[in-house]
Amino acid sequence: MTRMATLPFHPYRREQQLAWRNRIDRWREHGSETAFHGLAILFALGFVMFLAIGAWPRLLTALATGLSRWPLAVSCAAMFAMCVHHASLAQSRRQLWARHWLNPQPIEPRLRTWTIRRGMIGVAMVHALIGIVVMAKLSRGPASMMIWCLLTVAAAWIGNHIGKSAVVPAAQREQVLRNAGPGSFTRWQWIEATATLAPFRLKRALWLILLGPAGHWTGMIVVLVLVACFVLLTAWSRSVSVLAQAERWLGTQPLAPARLLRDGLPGPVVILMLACGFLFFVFAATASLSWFVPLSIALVAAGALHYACAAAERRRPARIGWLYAGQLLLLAGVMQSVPFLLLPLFCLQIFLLLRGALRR
Amino acid sequence: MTALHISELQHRYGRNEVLRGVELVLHPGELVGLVGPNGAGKSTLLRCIVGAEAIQHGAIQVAGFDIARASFQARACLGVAVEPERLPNLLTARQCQELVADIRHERAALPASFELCGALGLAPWLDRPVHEYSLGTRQKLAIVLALIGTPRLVILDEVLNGLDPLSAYALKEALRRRTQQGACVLLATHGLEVAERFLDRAALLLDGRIAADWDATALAKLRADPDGGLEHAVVAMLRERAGASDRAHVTPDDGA
Repeated sequence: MTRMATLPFHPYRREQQLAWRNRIDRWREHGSETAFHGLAILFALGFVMFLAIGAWPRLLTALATGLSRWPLAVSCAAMFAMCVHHASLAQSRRQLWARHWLNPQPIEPRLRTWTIRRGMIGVAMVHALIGIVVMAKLSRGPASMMIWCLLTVAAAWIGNHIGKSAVVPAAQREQVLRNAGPGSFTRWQWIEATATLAPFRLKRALWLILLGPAGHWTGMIVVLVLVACFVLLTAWSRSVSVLAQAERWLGTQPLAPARLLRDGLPGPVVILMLACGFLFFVFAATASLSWFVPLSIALVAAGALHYACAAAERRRPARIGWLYAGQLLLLAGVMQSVPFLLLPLFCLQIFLLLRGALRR
Repeated sequence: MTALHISELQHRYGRNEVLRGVELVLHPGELVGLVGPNGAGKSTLLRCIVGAEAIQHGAIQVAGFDIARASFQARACLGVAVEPERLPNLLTARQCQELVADIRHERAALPASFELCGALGLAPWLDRPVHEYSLGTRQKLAIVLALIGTPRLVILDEVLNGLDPLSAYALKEALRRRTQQGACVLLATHGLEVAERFLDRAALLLDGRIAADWDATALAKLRADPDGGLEHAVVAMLRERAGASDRAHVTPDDGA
């Protein structure tokens, strides 16, 4: 307690402490419920660990093969992923602080900056640690580890910069390329999906071109491919999120669930087709078309499952991610243990989710 | 020294120009209403004053401190009621007040703050987490937080709308006391009756500018006029603007 008292007053830290104290008090009040949730989380974590431990040697082998065959592409992909992670974290944190309830209070600007940077340093350290562990397992020398650590620092810097430039006022954030035309569900999804291509968002992507090493076209192409994946993924999630948004304000209208689901389908289907076309282009360019069919099927299946989850939980959008993760985990578990049940299970999942979505 | 000095303030979201050269000076002890139609830029103006929006053109000084260059000092002179949905769900009203009092180094102001909670009917909720509150109760907490300590300028956005009559009366009393102690209160409102009867001054924000500014004498005159009133004056100005806007859209061919 004495030590706590000597620490300088930090309003954000203090808020977090109070929030955690209240949270723990609430958990204590509802002991049995907390125990049930805790057990469920432990079980899920254990299952993930079980899968991860099983997949670890294969992942390492794949990484070793990738690093030896395409060192530049793997490095660029890792750097890209770290930059995107940092950028999205920096952006969400800055937006959070801009709308924070303590924002109008007289708080030293260095405390705000430090709070954002502390989070970024933590993430960079986790990235560095993961890389060091992987490299140790792959028996790479200290020089490689040092380069990896420098890369994590560079990714934190670039990501922070991208996240900073991407913070725009809410009114400006939702600007789209073209929002004219008749009001329809498909039009709405189109507007949501193309918002990904709004100029201020593309500015971020332009920064990522810096990741491509000078004089190496392969690296540049890898970065551009990853940027395209990122854009397609964002367009997909925005277009599917329209289901939950529609439920919020059209739920009181005489709109049959079947019609909502049917009208919400064209946008995601078009994006899936674009993604498959993109996959074909990438595999054709790299002369490995044998990968195209299985990966396209996996992509379409994952998309269908996500759409079904979003439809089933459209009234509680916060649960969509959890439901989807649970369904994917189940599929992964079955694929590991009884692979021949994979297809029937997938069909059953889709059937049950859509039945739930149509009933509500 | 002025409580608030805004000069040549312009603000735009993309191509949409919201504020087009706002000029406004508020003095200590004034209770000022900011009125205007929806979309006139009231909330943007308030967000600029509290430093939530970057100043694109012009300047804002709070108690002599520039909000862009000396934001820490300016914020120390500001009391702002944040939007109710921004309050922390996990904290209790008591914890929120203690935290804000610590930030402002105003621990001694806490008893008065708790007293105001009692007057606003917030006392039974003091030790309950914010996520259990109704919208009105959250709004009361936001108001109480804005009034902790001795801010020289208090910014309130549409706070009287969701309050029950007893709480609204208690709040008006509290605001009146604050102005008597030398604070300035800027209240954005659509309630023209409240503005006419309760405020010392009312400014009409229209098309991104302060289109009219009624001081205490002008408001008294409006009150005395049985056929007029602030509502009548504001509606007349809005209709005049709508007429001018319609005329501007009529082309010579339409007229022929």
